[in-house]
Amino acid sequence: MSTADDDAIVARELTKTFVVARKHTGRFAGLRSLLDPVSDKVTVVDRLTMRVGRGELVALLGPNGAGKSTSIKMLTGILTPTSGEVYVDGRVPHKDRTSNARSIGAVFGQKTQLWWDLPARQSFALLRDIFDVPQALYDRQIADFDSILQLSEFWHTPVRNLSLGQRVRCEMAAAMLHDPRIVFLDEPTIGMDVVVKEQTREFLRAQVQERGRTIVLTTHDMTEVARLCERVLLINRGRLMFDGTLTQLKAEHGGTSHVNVTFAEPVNAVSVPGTRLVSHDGMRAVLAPEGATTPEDVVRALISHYPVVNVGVEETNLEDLMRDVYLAQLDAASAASHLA
Amino acid sequence: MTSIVIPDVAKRRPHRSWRLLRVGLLNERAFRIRLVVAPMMLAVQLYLYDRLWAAVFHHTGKAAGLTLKQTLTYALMALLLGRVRWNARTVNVRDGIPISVREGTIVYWFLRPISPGRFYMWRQTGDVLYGGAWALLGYVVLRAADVINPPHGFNGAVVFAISLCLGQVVLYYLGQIVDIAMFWMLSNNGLARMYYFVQDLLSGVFVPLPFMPPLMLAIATWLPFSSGVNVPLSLYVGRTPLSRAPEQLGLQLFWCVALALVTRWLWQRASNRVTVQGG
Repeated sequence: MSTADDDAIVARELTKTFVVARKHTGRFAGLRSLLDPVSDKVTVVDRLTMRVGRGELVALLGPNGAGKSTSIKMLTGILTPTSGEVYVDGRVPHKDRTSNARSIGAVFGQKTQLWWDLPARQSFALLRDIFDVPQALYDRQIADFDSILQLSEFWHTPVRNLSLGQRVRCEMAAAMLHDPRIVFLDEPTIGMDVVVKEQTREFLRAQVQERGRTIVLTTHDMTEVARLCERVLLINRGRLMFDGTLTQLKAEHGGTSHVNVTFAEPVNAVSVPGTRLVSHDGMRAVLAPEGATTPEDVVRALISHYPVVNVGVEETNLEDLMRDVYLAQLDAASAASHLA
Repeated sequence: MTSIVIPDVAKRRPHRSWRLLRVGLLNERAFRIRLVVAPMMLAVQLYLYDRLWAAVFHHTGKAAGLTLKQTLTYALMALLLGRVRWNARTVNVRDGIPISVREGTIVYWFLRPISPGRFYMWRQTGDVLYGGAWALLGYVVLRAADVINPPHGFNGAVVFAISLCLGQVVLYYLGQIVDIAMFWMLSNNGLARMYYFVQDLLSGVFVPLPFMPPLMLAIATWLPFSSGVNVPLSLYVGRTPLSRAPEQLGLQLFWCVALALVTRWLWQRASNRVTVQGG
């Protein structure tokens, strides 16, 4: 395990538990909740151990409620962990929020840090004052960001009148105005059109490749992950389930391609050795090759044993892969709870 | 790859965060109509209060130990003092604590190199200076029209100015406590509205405190609200003699220190229980 100073981010056995009030039901529920409060402990992040090197762009992935946002909030110092250790740029973020603020920048999805009724340019100037950014650095940053994000087209417009895409571009700039080493982006491109998304990706790539920033990105947009991140961290139910490259993820969870077949007449049962039956509705079936079986092997087997009228091979996209991974984890967790 | 140059200044404490004072004025300028409505509203309030108190004193020369001129001075200046913190009442202020907690944007308060308390202070001070400018304008107009009395000499003016500042500090901390309650309540609209009604009533904004029934007056005297408006105005109109000024200023100072300690403690607690609604 690396030391706290080597990497941009180090988390060891990081855990966050919330105490949630349980509501009474039935008669006088409100009064009973007041007189006899009952609470449950909910563990949102469970012994998360991870590290992110300097200059890396990693994706923190997981289904809704997996603990991604809570993890980000602990890494940024907003939330205090229940237990475990966390170091960001060598500091414990929740204990040293003021110094930590200079090292990090963040965008939290739809939550804006811009002043709603003021033009974005005025918000930038206010953030310059808050972070005490020297004027020369501020001017350079603004010029840099404008060259990619084309902010000057709309930065004199009050933020409340900006489109979502325009606002998010301003949020990105606002988060990096003070030249932070590490940037946390919690679903920054949600709801944006493809053109703006690509512009944002170009901006992020430039920040990593040219400015050496470390970026941690949470997103549900798999195209974004595929185009930006070499490394993914997959968490579910607050636990780290996978840490590696997308290629490794595909290899570990298999099913990188599917064979879609249409029959001339309804077929009762479809069985091809070395494959997993993904779906079957009589006239159509989808099979996933497993192990050493190739899609070509499956096509040959189908044609020789069934009345096939149409067959095609489809590469599994990342969305499907993630769905399969999430569902597999749910099944595993369900099985474990049954055994327990 | 070029490495990031972290400027030396990043190691220093920020010294330009005071410029947040201008946010309040910028917000007002964003809706220029407010710059017209604010003086109109103030003029209407002052005129109606003037007529109301003139009617109350129609058949009497003195009430609650005050003459009509003293009462008008107290009541109209109380309205002006109420205007000072008008924009600092953060219930509907987009970058205030209530809306920031409700919308989750409070996270950014904890990602800045100045503490949330410091940010709050600069924002509030800016709003108070803006409101204070309108109040000062109203004061100058009322004095020019001889509707209200001048202070009792130079000493009276100085004592009033000190008491006024201490009173504003008391109201600042009281309002801040209501705002910080948002971290626990997640919605404090009801609390805030109730608080501001009680504050205005028991500080003397609605009606000069000497007109209150004895029990209510006793309660108001022992609560911090009266430090905000009643104490400085009683000194101004001469209802409280200047010889009692040290005692009154001491009481205000006590509230300032006590509320500052409570606020500091609440910020520490609130910082450890930031919840972010909506993920």
